[in-house]
Amino acid sequence: MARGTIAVKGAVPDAAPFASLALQAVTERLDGGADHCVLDLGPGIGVNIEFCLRIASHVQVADLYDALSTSMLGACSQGSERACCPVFPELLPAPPGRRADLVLAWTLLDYIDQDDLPRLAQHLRAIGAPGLLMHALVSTRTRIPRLPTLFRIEPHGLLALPRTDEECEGPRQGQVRLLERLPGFRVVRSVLLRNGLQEYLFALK
Amino acid sequence: MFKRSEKGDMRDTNTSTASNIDRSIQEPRVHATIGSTIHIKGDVSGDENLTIDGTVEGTIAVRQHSLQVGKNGRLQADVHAKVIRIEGHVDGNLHAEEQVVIRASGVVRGNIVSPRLTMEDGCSFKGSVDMEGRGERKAVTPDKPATASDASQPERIAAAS
Repeated sequence: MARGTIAVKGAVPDAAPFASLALQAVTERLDGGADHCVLDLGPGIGVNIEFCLRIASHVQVADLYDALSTSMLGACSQGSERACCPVFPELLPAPPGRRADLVLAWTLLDYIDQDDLPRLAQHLRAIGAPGLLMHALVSTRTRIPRLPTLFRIEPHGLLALPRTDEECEGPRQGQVRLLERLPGFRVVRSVLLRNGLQEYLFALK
Repeated sequence: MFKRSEKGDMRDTNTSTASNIDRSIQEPRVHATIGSTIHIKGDVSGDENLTIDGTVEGTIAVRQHSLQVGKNGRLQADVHAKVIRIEGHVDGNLHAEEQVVIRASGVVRGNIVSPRLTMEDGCSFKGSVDMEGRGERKAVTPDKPATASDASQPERIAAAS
């Protein structure tokens, strides 16, 4: 596995964070409350974990992008197409002795196979606390970056760190279609951002 | 033969040297190193600071001292220490009494239990973080917005239907 610090392709030096009303709402809901648990489905980024630790005492970094890629690449190499179906209980184990209060999905919903979304939703229902919140960024454009953009939670919002200029076709999911594929979830907040991303805050019904 | 000490008094350097030698014999070393060519399978425990540049599979316990995993260090081990600093690769759970520091070159796959956590940009982490002592918890990350973790290089997982 290649690793190390990389210069982020396409990142302009003066790129500014964009406001995230959904994350602000999450902070207001969870800050200062009970002992919360956060699942970060993206890769572990220090400032994001720092943010999570302000509102939760337990943070689980799943790096599901990597886990799914690895899982599916391994399965696909054996020639079985359906074996590519990710096994979410293995990829995203339940936090020990806890139930998740918040899921940071970032742009995962654009990159996961659409047929797998209901399975992901089912697993999140199983490991989530009542009222589980899920933050997600979904592209409204027909083309999306080939590699999922990383995001840093900055003091004044989210800072996008695109990693490639290459693009591919995106699923361009609307809210209705998303909710069909995420049974059990409802939309708490939805904001269309200037960068073409629709920011969602979902909650378990 | 004589020189002025920091306190300004005169001291017999020979006596002082001899005293230091005696002390070094009597007192335990304050730092141990497992070199880059060393491979240990089993449990490592001790009562002094430890630096690992080699490979350890098993458990490591230096509960009242610090553990540093150098850039060449490879652990497949659960670790108990007062302070844990990671520059190399760790596959295992980290339990720190005071702090865990994951440097930019560090790769950690496992669960962290510590009241303080520092993760530098560029490090790779997958697992969970439990902050013991909610009132004291603190995570610090240097601000380097032009870099990002390249732990996974995730590709598009599947084509949209």
